[in-house]
Amino acid sequence: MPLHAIERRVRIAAAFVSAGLLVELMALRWPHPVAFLVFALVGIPVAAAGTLVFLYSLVSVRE
Amino acid sequence: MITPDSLTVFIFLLNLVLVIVLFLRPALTATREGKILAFVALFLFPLLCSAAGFSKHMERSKKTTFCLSCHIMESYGRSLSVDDPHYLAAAHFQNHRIPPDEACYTCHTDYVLYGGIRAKWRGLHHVYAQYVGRPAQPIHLYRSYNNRECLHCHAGARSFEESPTHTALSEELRSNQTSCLTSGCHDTVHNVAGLGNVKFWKGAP
Repeated sequence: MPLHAIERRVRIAAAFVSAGLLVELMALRWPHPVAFLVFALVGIPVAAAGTLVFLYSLVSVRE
Repeated sequence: MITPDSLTVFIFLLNLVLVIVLFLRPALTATREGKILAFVALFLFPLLCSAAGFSKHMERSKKTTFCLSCHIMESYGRSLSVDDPHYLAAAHFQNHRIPPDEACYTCHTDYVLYGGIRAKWRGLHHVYAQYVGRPAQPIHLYRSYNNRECLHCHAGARSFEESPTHTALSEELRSNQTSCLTSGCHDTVHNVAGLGNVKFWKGAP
C-alpha cells in the first residue's frame, strides 16, 4: 500500500534522527578530543535535519 | 545503580527504539497517540539527547585525562608527578589542592563571568592546532598567567594571608602588578625542560 506523504516524511525524519543519534551515541562513548567535534558537527546537524523534516511534514502536508 | 552516564545512554537507546518503530511503522502517525509518539521521538527526545550529550562533552573536556590525551601535553602530565614540592603544579596536584581529575582546567580556566566558556573556546583552538594547524614550539600560554586564578582559592586562606610576603605585596598581587609565578617566588611551575633531572613520585593522587 503506498505511503501517504506525511508517512513518507516521517520515515525520512526517522532515518535522519536515528543516524544522528547513532553518531552522537558513538561520539559519547569515544574518549577522544575529536569526539566533541564529531558530536557537534555531524551528530547534532543530522539529528536536527530529521527533526526539521518532521516539523515540516506537520505544516506542509494536506491530507 | 543509576548514574548520569547510564541514564544518558538509556535515553539515547530509548529514543533510538522509538525512532526505529516510527521508521518501520510510519502509519502509526495516523492516530492521535501515534502523532504524540512522533512528536516525542522526533522532536523532544532528540533535543534532550543532544543537550545531555553536549553537557557530557563539556564535563568531559574538564578532565585531566582529556587534556593529557594530546601527545603534546604528555610532558605537562609527567610534570604533575615530580617528587619535589617546589614544582608548583605537582604540589597542587599531589596534595589535592586542586581536584586531581580536573587539574588542568582548575588552574587554566578564567575565574570571571563566562571564563569557563572562554576556556572551552581555547580548548577548541587547541584541537584545531593539534589536528589542522601547527602547535607552537614550545607551547605557551596565550597571555601571562593572571594572579586572579591563584587568588580565587588562596585569597582569604590562613596560610596565604599570614605570610608576611603576601601581606606586604597584597595590593600588587591583587592588581596583577607583581606576578605570583614570574617574580621569583613560585617560578617553578611545570618546568618541562628540566624533567630529565628530577625524581618522580609513584603514588596515585
